[in-house]
Amino acid sequence: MNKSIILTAVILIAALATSGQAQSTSAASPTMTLTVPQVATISVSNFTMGTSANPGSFATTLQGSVNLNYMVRVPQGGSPNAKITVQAANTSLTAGTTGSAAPGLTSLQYSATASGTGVTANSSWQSLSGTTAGTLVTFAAGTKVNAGTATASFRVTDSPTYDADTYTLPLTFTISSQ
Amino acid sequence: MVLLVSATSGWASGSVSISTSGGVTFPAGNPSVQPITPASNSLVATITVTSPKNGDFWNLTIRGASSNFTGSSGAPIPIANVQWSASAVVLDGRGNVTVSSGQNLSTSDFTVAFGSTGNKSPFIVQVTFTFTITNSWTYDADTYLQNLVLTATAN
Repeated sequence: MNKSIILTAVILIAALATSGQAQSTSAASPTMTLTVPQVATISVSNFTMGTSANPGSFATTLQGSVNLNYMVRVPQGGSPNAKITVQAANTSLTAGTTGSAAPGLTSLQYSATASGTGVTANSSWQSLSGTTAGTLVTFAAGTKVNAGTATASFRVTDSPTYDADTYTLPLTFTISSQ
Repeated sequence: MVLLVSATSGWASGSVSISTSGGVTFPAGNPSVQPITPASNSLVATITVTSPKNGDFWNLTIRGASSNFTGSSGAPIPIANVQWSASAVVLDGRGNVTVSSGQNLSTSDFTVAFGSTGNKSPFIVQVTFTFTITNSWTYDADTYLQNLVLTATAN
């Protein structure tokens, strides 16, 4: 009789120990979303093309340049429209003195220099337009530049019809990331 | 013998469940302006232990389901660039909670919070996560996804 009671107690302890190891688990899988946007910013200052010192040779004396500071992030599937363009905001130059014969837009040309992986500058002289944007720099798909600098150069083709004066022309520089 | 085992099964630890408030969104902008980008929202995980017993233990772990964020065209971005921190509060029941220091995310389970319970049911703990990601100009423009795995255990 005594042996039977002792055996029962041992079994009870073993059962309690087993229940103490029971484990319950539950899981959740929320989604993380990371959005990396395209980037396209540009800044440029006013600049002076120069002062003509030798009439008859403007092409060499009236050539100025300006730095374009830009930032761009082109998607891997982006391009070919990722670029920096320039366009004249007016169809003619504004003279400082009324009546002065100003150079026409067709006498102005532009070109550009730039460097970096995926960055290509249009280094040949092109005619400036007031109706169509001209391409200065193109960016390949996947190009990422956090602090780039391109240089845009402009020159005027000489003509004996130009009056001595100071002429201004607003330009619009645009950067796009795709 | 059989009667004794059956009776003790009623002493088993409580069951645990977890629910979350939704997902996490990182609006990664300009890395030059914001190199460490906070998520636009916190993630709240609610852990509920039903029928807990005095001295039961519980814990919550976190890991990434995979080692990279993946997008449609951009190069994968390691989830190790994600940092998390957490705070917690006991909403109901008896028990306590201890929160670990924040870490970078990995694919290995890391214990975010743990504690023990009393015998009042339910025992509910709310853990609030805040996330940041190290932003970089090396990231391709794209939308990337990855899942977190939050696991609550009670025993």
